[in-house]
Amino acid sequence: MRLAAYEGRKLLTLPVLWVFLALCLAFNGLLIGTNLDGRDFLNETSSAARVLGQRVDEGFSAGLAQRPATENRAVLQEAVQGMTNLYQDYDLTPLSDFYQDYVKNSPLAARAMAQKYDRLAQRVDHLAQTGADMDLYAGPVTYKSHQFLFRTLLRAVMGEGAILGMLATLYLLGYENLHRTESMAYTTRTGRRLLGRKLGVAVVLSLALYLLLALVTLGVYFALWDYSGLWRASVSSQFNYLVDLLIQRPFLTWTDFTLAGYLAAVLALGGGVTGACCLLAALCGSLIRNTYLAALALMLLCLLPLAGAAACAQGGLWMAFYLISIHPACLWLSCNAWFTELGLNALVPWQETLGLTLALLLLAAALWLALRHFQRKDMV
Amino acid sequence: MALFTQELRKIWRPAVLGAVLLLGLLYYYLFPSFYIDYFCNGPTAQASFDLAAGWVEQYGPTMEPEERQELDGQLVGEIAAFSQQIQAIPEAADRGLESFEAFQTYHDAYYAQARANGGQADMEEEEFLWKVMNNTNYFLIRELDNYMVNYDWKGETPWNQQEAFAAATPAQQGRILTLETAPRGFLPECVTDSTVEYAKDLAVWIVLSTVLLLSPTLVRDRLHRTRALQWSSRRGRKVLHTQLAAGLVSALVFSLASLALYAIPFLGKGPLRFRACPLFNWCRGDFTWFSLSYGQYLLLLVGMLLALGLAAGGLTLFLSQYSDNYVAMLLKAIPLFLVVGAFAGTWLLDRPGYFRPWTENGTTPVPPDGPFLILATLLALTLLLCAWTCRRQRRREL
Repeated sequence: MRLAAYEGRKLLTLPVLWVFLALCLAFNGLLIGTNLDGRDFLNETSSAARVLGQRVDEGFSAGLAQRPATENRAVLQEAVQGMTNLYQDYDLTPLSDFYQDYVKNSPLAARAMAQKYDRLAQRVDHLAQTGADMDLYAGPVTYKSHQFLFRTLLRAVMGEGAILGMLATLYLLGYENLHRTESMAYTTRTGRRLLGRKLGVAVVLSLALYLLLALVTLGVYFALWDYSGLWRASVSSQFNYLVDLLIQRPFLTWTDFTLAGYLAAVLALGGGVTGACCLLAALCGSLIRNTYLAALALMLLCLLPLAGAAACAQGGLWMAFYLISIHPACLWLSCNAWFTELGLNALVPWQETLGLTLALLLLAAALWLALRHFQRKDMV
Repeated sequence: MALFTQELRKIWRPAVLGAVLLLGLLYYYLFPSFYIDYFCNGPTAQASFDLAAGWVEQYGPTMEPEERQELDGQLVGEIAAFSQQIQAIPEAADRGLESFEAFQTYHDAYYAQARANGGQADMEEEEFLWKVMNNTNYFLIRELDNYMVNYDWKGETPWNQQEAFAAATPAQQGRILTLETAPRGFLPECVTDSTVEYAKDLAVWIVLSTVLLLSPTLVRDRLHRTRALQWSSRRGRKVLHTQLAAGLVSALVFSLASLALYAIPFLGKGPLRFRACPLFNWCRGDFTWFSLSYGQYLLLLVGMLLALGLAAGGLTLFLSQYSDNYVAMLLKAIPLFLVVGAFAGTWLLDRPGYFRPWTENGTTPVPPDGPFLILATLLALTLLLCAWTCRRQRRREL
């Protein structure tokens, strides 16, 4: 435990780490500050939903009519009047056929795609029964606000958390080499097992930094945007949708999510991505002694799968594409649609969760081998 | 000189260079290659490019009114060629379409019907229409006709009565009136668009690669504790001058090398045939502050990219002397890259010299010399910081 505290202190007393964290928060603040369109509307909608509830029915419409007459209320009333039972007869066949045709070069991928949309059809029936499509969420500004929160802001937070995590891991793993204390540190009782301790501390502190980033950023965001009436909204409301390959479809998740639950799930998976990035950094840091070269190798390992995925998609190598997509960098790119059918980016339900789990297992196995190699490596 | 060479060798380490080059290949594949593969993005842009390429050979870099008259004959010739080409498409004969006018009427009627049906498309008809359009000179005729109509309208309507004039500032209005009587260039939109987007991506790469190459420079000396040894040598504290000079020269050389490598695929698309064409397309509304040719504009962009690379290099060297380990330097390098490369670089290279606002949705226009002044300030700041560093070095304690 003492060793962990010492290792933690090494990282936390690095001044530039806190400067970088502050810059990240400033950047996130800038993102929030330059995207305030629709705030008044959302706040007013949230205030109405807090009183009237999220489910749009006759009671809701009557209650809405009695609220103070404002321009926003008029727009909301018009939007609410146009609501339909979207999932009642929603047919996924055109979407399924489209994607099967897209990946037809790989019969296995086409079959899996068909099965995915068959499973999704069951979800649509369930959502039709629960009436999730009749949830207001944020009305007409739902798509814009949802995409800003999850595609822009949380993606920035996750990216910053991952970068911090990777650099923190490299720093800790390369600390002894940096300060020429290797021969001293690795001849102690703990010996080369110290690297494992360092890794543990790096992962824990990286997750803590990620959480700090997320909490402060979301704190500022929710201070400006009143979500108090929106937390119980279903994210599969008919006002929410996704666009993939220019095709718009409802926001269909694999389980029922309220906005609060969805946010928590995304944050949790984001933590998983941060952890995976730390493991990737640890792999580079334990195999390459020079910290800078390890950082460059890490950069290449993050960019290579993106290029590989793009090349496989262009070449019609769909199974390879889906295998590569479990890489944390690919998962990070699709974070605005996690826990949905993910369009072309997924073959199976819950692919982002399964993919991350597989990535963590593979990275852990690779790291275990790397640490074993480190145990026997000549350090002189 | 020997010291300078040794410092260069410390910067140009094979492992770092190899990693940066590999990163460059991946970056090129993911981003700038799009603007080469789709230099003319779509059949309309390709048609516009082909038309302009023919006009440059026939009429030179501008289309004066007397040359415009000859376009009527060209249009007639193209329409006649269409009638020949459509005969090779059996589905057209089945529908009794043998001329351009007949096909255009059929085309317009189909889309009017589709709009009336709430956007419901008939896929068989779509397939037929696109087969004709892709296998004839249909897009060329449309682009030629559009150009002629725009040209005539621009010539007949005083520019101070057009919508863009009313919304412009007094300085912009003055420039618009000057452009009204300027040589009538026809530089295709796709050439300008692809050039600018490619230059923006190149700016990001130049900054990224320079930052990565130079980040470990002075950090390595601190890690190896060589400062005392360097200061006690014949050169004394002026060693830093040589190191900074080597760094800045490396930044310049690497930027030049990146430019040269990026230029190869770019020039392969044939944009230099328009090098003498005025940058301002007389028939379009994207006005320019300066009367440059396209070739001169390319040289301007090259100069801006080199200046950006030099600025990024200088700032990296400045920051690296305050870092005692690689991770600390990377934590500084990332914001440096984002500010200088991702934000400033893409903004500065986004159509410098054109009328444009400060932000995408803003209305306040950027002054004509705005991007150049900002870049010059950045470069001056960099050189000032390097000079201050050298001066400070003389007084520092070990």
